Amino acid sequence: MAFRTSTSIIALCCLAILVLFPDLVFAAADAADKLLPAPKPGRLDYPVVAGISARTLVWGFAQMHLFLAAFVLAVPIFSIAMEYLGQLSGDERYDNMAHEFMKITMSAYSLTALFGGSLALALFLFYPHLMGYMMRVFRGQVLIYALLFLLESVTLYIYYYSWNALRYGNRKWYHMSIGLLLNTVGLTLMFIANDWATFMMSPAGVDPATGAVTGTVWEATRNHLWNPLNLHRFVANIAYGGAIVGGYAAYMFLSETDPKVKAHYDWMGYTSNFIAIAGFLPLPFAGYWLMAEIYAYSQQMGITAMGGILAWLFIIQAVLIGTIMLAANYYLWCGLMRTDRGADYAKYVKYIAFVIVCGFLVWVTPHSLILTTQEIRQLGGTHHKFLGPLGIMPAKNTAVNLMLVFTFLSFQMFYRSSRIPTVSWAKAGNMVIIALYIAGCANIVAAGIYGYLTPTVYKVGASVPQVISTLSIIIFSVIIDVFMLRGARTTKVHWGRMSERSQYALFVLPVAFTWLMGLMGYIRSSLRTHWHVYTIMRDNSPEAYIPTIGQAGNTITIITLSFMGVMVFVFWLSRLGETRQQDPGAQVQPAAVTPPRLHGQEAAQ
Amino acid sequence: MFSSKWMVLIAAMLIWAAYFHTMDWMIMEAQGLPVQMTLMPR
Repeated sequence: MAFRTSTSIIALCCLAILVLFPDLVFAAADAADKLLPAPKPGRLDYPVVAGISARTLVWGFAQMHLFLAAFVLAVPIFSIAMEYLGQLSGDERYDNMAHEFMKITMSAYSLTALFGGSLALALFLFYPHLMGYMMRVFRGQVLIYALLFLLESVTLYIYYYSWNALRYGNRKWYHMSIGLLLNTVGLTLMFIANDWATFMMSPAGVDPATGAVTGTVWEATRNHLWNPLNLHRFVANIAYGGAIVGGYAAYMFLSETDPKVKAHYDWMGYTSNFIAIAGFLPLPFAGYWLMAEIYAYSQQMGITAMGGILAWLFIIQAVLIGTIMLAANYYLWCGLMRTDRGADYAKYVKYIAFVIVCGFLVWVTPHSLILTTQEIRQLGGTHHKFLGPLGIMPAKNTAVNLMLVFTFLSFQMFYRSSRIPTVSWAKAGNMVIIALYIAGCANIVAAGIYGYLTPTVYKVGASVPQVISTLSIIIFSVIIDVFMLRGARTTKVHWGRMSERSQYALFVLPVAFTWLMGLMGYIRSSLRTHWHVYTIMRDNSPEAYIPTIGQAGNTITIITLSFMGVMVFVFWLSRLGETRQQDPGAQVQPAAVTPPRLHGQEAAQ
Repeated sequence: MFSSKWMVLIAAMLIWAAYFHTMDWMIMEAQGLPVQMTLMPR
């Protein structure tokens, strides 16, 4: 009922914007705009302020804003999912955890706005002509963005602060409706910001020759790369948000000494890791779609990414993704010690590790090497005889799909380790799942080999069955498990019985994710090369060049470290909020930190 | 017939193999890339 009300409110708001401010949404180009070409600023039109590198400053602000925004937009998505799960299962632990997730978001929210404001100011200061042109293209949409930002703040604060006031019964549904509204506004905000970024890569609604605004705001919004980026960022944000709160859970797990509180944070860490990996599994496929659309829009742009100077950064990307896979799996394998039957599954870990390490090595193998003449002579050519073939896409696609399948297997093992199926067909069901894994993996490998034997277009085409095979294994396994584990005998999960070392794997995830996002964001932005708006408005600033790999790497690393510093501050703030000073007049009590509010329930089973 | 778990495994393997093979075929056809043996090297 409340959800229906919320949906109606959202629909009414959209309708009101359309009716009251049609010009903001569908503003047709003015006659004057149609004659006005895109600006052509000269080198002197770019202000120099105190010798500051404008590009590096804007880069830093934009990336910090994006990291924080990804986090604060993602957490409410899985918070509301968890709240809903708590409502369905009647288990208040889910509700408490969702509330705690939101608590971390609140600390980060104002910082997001701060970096967003700084970014806008820096852009208007250093790139006034570009921003003037962007305002001319997007007109009233900028005001809608500001309006939505206000609405986002209001709904976020109401959602968080009304948590305990609207906790039970019908009121809970009203609370979730507010959460739904918050997520709708948040996603719309992201989609709007995405259309500005993608317009600069694949402009639409403007005259291709002069850049004069000829179309509507909607035409500029719905540019070629908008939806691929929307999907990619939506999925990536969930993975990223999960990784960050996982880092928080690890921080708290290591900081606390009370076993009950440790159990709570262990469970929170496991759930966060689950969210991060659940978001991560479809991410490469969303990335493929984005890259395929980049190629479709401009082959030159695609080649700049995958075949030019930026191609080497994809090797670093592979290292980072491999690190994420290894860290996530390591954490899951450590998690087997939480259950009494975990040891039965531990013997399979070495095989999974073998596949993941091999996949990692294949993925990081470059195709073309940067070699001296002597090295080429020693090697007998520019490509290594055995390793060279591993550098092309069929091998990499095979590797990444197998890594994803085996990461899912690690999850399945942990899930199974605390459940003993009681259905009569359990043995047959297990055999069906084993057959699914064998046949699916064989198909992935076969499609990879097929890619070697066929022309390029078939190589690319064969990657789709590989993706579908991976998804088939995951989906069919889950379906069979759902039926097979119905009424299963559950064994105790000893939350908190986890090595401290495993928590460092949870720290690896946000660091690697942050670095990866910085790297890929840099690549996406660099594809425009010397254009502000690709092929429409040229960048004539002194920094209109692609930086060297080293310079880019250093900048991304500094930004990543800065963000990590900010997150440690946010975690510390969250912990500080729970700290209560002892009354000097009262009797001495040992505890300085109050445990999380568990509402009369145990922290964990 | 399915009293032995190994029989189930073999039967399931055959069914899954058929599923994946059909899926591969359909996806390649849908992309306008008919799977032909002539593409293979001689």
